[in-house]
Amino acid sequence: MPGESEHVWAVRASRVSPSEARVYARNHAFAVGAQASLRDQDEHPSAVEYLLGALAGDLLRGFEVQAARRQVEVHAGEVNLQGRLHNALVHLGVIGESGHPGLATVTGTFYVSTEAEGPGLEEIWQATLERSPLYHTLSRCATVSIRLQAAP
Amino acid sequence: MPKPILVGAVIYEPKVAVIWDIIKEFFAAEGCPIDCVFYSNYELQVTALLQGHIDIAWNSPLAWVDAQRRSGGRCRALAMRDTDRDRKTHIVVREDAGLRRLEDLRGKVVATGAKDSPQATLIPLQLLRRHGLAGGDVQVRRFDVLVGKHGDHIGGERDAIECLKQGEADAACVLDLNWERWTADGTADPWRHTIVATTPPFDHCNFTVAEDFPEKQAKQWTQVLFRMSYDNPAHREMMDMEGLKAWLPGRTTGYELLSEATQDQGYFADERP
Repeated sequence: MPGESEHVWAVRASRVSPSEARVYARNHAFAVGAQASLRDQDEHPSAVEYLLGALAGDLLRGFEVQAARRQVEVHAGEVNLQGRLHNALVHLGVIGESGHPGLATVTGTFYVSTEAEGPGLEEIWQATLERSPLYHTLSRCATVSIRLQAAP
Repeated sequence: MPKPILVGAVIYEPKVAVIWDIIKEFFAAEGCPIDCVFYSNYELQVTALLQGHIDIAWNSPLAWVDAQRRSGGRCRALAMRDTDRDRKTHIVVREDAGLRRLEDLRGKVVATGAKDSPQATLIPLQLLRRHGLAGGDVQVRRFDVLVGKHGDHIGGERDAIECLKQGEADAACVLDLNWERWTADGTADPWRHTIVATTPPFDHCNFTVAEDFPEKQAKQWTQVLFRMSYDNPAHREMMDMEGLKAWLPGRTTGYELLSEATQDQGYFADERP
């Protein structure tokens, strides 16, 4: 269990309008639109997209840290993630539906171009996953399957 | 804040909620707020309408017939899409099968959509019945995809045409709009398949209200609805998704064939007293 001396990460969010919340984190602020938007375009990312984006960012930054510890230079990296809710109709409040509105699966690919190859690259990737706060959080409540793909 | 009019809709996939978001935003801007209540199936929605839980129901044709049956014919149809009027269903066969008339389907396998699909099951089977092909005269191969949603989801209908293409059925029942789409996008091959018969025209969905919904409110609501314009890009997204160019007044003369089908085929007989 975390003790009281553990560092706490804090955010604050306030209502801007019926369709926008603004989140403040340290010296940053960002706008959140819908909870889980179904439209092709919106003024702001949805909460679900922030969650997926946070995981993608976590993994990219984590990979960088693990690579640096092994003196491996990263040339390029990109993550594509897709999240699926257990039942989006429950989120929409459809009467007669069952299940829950939480994420059921997160799938995707982590593309990376580095000096490392084969086992060395895999070791960096596994260390990235092992130390990722968001990967560990999400993989306890959803099926998270992200494939590592080395790029030239 | 004025009390919103509650509009019910059956949702078969999450994306459909976008349609209702756009309609809701438009009604709010026009000073006639609505709220949407989503249901997983039409039976729940018709019950909610008749029990006064919602004011207006976006009903499938079968839900309209059910509402009329359960209300003693006291419901009213406020509005419908232009594309809800005069729909037809084709019965499609393989070009080389030598089937030229409906009567040639005697003893053959006819693929249909879900059991509660007016367009892909009930109405075309009624056409067969009118031509003396009832009950065991044809073998019905039914594709019960998402039962309860009255064929809104075209999965069962697509399975029926695939069944015909695979040679596992002699005929398939397909709504005219889907036949046009599928012959254009290659799902169906108009050179290999041909229409052996087409049903008489029938009407599809409508906005239904119960007897006690105030006439003044109904008039105000439909006036706002009819102000939606395909020329407005904000409305066009919704109208394209919902498949219409204009909203029209509701009419109730296009449900006779379906009503006849439900009676002759005993559709409601084993569902409720």
